Amino acid sequence: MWARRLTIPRSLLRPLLAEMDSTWGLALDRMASVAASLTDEQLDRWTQTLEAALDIAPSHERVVTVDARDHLRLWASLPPTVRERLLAGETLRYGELPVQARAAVLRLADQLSSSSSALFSTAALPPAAREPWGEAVDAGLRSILGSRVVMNTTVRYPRDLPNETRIRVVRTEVPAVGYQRQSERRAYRVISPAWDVGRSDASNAEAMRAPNEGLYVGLEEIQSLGILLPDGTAILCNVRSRRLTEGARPLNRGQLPEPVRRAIEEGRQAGGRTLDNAAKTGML
Amino acid sequence: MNSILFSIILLSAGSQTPTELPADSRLQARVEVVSTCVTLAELLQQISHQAGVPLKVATELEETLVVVRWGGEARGLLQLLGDYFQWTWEPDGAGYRLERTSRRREVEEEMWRRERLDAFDSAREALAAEISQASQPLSDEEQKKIQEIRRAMAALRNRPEGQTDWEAHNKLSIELQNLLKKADLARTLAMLAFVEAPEEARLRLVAGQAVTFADKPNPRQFPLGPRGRELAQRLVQEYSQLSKLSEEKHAELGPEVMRNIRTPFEPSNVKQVVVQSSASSGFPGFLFPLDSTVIVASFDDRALVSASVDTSLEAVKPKWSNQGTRPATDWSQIPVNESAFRRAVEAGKEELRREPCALFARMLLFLAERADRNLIAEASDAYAAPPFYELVEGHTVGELFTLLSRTFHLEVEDREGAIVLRQ
Repeated sequence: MWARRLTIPRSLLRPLLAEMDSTWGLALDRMASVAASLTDEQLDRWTQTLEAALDIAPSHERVVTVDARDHLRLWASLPPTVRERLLAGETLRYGELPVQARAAVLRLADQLSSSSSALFSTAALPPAAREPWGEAVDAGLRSILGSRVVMNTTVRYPRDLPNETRIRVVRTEVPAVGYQRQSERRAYRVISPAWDVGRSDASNAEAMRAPNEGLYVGLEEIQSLGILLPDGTAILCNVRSRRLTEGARPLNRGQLPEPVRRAIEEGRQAGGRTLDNAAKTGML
Repeated sequence: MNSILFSIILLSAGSQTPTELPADSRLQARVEVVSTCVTLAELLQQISHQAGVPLKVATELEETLVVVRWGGEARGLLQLLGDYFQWTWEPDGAGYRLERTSRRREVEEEMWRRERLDAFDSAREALAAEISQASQPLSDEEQKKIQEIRRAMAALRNRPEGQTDWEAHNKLSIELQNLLKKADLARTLAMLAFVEAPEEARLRLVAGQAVTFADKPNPRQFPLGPRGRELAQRLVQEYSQLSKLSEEKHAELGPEVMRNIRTPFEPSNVKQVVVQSSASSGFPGFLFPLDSTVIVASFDDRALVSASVDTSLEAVKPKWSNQGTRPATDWSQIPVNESAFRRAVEAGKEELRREPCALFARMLLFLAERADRNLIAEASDAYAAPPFYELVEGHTVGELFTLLSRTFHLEVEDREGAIVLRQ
């Protein structure tokens, strides 16, 4: 009787499936429109539905998490001109946002965001162990937040946020690699940042290693959103999306474009020096 | 892992039911419909085309997904559709339109609320029994077993490159996590908050609202009981120790980073402990009853594949979780030829890229055909498991930790006022 509540409308899903069947993912802006079109209950089934249809490896950083979807909905609620200003690096005041966007910011601010934990780990890593793109994101966030970087903290403002609250966005793109991975009885399509591919090469994680052939060129978009409250507290959200680039065709490693190969090599060199095993290598 | 929900009515071939549709000879037309998984709007279009009667459905209902096998008068199918959903056919131009009355909308809302509340209550009963055993120190035997498993896992990981049996490693990992669950304080605290939740809190959860349990609740929060407070304190102690370890590891990271890592985090600073509800991913397990009752089932697509090696549905035992809201109903015994079953499943796989429910719809249709029954089934993308229950029943420590990481937090006094620290 209430199955509709839990089901992604097919009028929305079918064109998305067709699109994702070829691109393995969606652009961030497209994902934002999806998050804005669906209810939480429907989004809770998003990953499973895609996995059932497309064998795309689940990613918890897509529209699954509560704060990621609110981040995306906030983005979707912004008029194109406001998005352009934010993407150009402009800092906007909460008070100058449209009413609908302010409601979205308030909702996001009232969430206990978990995605900032990823940023926390980036900031905590010693420079040599940071992922290259992590530095860019980190630098962007520091520019959002100024000198007082307060990670992993939120303050609840149940009624409204002060007009002086500032909003800023940093969007970064990094090269990615798509490939198929066999997992138990299924073959999954996976897209990983090229740097991660290199890092898994350097580790012993055989099951995580990308093949040498049948590789596709893709990209990962990372959008970091900072809400800086007048009291100096910051709410940081981070959402990412991966997809193949247009016209992608299977390649072997030697055929990958130079920026992708370089990122793989950088990841390989940094492999084994992540936070988890930094202590073993004497870095910490 | 995919979960599919099917609410099923299996109908006797050719059965007739009273109709609210007016006398209309056009509706006596015989229609043949086999729809793997279509929206109601698409189904009505098919029927309309065959019977020559314009048929529509209200916009708010048109995305309803159905699986249909039908051979008989159009009137019978239309009436059964209306009866199943308890929606009404209204004249619309030269044809008819399926509508939902405002009263029916209210009833559905109440049924939805009740269904979820019942699920919560059943889950609470199951968890209450488990709590008495939870968070107990591990016995010597269990600790020995844990060490054995860890050694075995390490041995597997240390094999020469390419020779690691990851399947065996995963099995050991699950075994280890199940053992560790017993001593998992966070899990026990989550279970306890869930079990002790007053009705008002449960109603909020049912409505999809966030609910916060705290040892010093504000007017919008709910209190933790004595045991919850005690567990929370122990958790704080654990986190405090971890935090100190973290500080030591990051001592060389520079003053700016250290200032953030070194947020005051001593047990004495703790103002309150909070456990909050959260939405999460799907619900494992599967069930495939084939009877005349409307049922709510969760279906696992991988289980489907393994089911195909058996020769009867009886072998596909429902794997009910502790939730237990739906007792297994009578199972219709329909022998399933393995090779035929496989063919049906394989055919469905081809359609998955267009319709995620296609595989299961195919199997339903196959079984309906074997049983020589007409079939009307409602499909959706997943089972409506109560989110907080999913959280508590996280299947691995890692999953549980992930879920708790955004639902469990401690509020401590900062120099500049109270802030909330997520763990």
